[in-house]
Amino acid sequence: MSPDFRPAPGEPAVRSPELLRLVQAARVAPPPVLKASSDAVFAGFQARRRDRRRLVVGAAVAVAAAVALLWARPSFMSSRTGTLEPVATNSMQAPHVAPLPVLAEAVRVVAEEGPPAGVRGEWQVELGDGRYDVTVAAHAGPELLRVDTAGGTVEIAQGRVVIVVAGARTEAVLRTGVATWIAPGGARTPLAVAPAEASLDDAPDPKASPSDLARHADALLAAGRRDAAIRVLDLLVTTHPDSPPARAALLDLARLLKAASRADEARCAYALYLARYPGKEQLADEVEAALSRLGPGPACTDLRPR
Amino acid sequence: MTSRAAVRDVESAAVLAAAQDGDRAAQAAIFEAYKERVARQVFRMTGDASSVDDLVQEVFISAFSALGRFRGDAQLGTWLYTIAANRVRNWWDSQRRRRRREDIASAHADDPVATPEADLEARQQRDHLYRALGELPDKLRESFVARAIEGMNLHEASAALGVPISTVSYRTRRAEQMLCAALGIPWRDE
Repeated sequence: MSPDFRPAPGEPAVRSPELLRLVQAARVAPPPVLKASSDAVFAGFQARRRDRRRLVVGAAVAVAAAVALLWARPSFMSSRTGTLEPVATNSMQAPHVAPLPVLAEAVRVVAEEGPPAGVRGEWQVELGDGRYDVTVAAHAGPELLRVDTAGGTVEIAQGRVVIVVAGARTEAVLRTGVATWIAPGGARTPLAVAPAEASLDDAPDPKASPSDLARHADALLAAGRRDAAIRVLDLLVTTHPDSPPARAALLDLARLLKAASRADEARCAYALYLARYPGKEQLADEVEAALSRLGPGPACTDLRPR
Repeated sequence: MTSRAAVRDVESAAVLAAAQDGDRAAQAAIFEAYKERVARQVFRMTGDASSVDDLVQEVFISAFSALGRFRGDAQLGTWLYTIAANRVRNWWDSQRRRRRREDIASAHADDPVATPEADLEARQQRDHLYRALGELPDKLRESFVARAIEGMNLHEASAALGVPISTVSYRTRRAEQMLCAALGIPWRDE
């Protein structure tokens, strides 16, 4: 990365006086008063250790089950022909198969769009791309439902949450009850109950600023109106291409188009992103990978396939 | 403030081993000795006061969970610096992905701010800088923060980041060049 580059002894970290002024403002900023305590750290450490132990025990059980399965050698595995032959087995001799996890009675997950939710445990589900209506009825115990998505986790104590997942982007709208958003970094944000959907207008104000359009698209997406969100993002990246929110909006647009199975348009959006922001950075790699996964398609004029 | 004696005490093998075993008092001693240093580092790396508590907590939980891998060939402070840098890298990733940075920036712009003019200007300058820092590749940003904002010399930054001095120097200059471009500041490579 740095061939033939020899630093001068005592070289300054910043050469530009204008940049130095900004850096000094950052340098002298007092750090916030720390509220984290050693008790909270200790509790987190204990929880992580418990999770690890569970993982180790789970792996050991899985290995033991695999060994037991091999040892029991069900009849199709010992077939001389090598073909799978259905054989009636005595239930007393059938190899033990761990039952699939089932959601707790208080939990209901409806996939309005997208694949069904993956049940990981009584109080844990995993969602793919789509729109899901998740309800946790009032129950006696202290359990919280953990809903994992690629963009983060929603923890629901009780109530109803509409969750829209598009790639690494997740929007959770709390309709009633109590729930918390947990970002991938672990930061927890309690969700506020959202106002009724009726107040959300599909049609953006033509005079709206780029930031307003971005917020409008977010609100539409959170309300599950993906197509309307796509229209607003399209308007943002087309009419304000040089605005700061346009970059993230273009990426969101591509992901939403892909999630909506509009592959040709998604391909054009990704290609436009690479054309507009050609710098090699982490996101560019991600975009290139997404583009290659979509495969070949028609040529594009900006956002539109020809 | 972290006292040298407190740091020496918590770096003793007995305290480290006890903390690794989950001894509450040993963990609390390490936390108290290093919390301010880690908080300052996290704040300077992210510029976001609201994330400092969560990140500091994560850094120490990760550190206590991984103490078995700390072999004592570096100082505990340097080791914690590396863990914090990794946590902050993930934080920047999630910020980029979720576009929160822009939301926060626009929310700040809309906030009626009742601070003196000089404070407001300093805050705006910091916001500009951190917005531009968020666009840099991780390695360049980490070198720049260590050298320019943390005020480390080349040797210290090299040890903290685990890369050669020449690499720190190159990355810092490259970061400065990219920051100047992003902020519309003329770049003079002398």
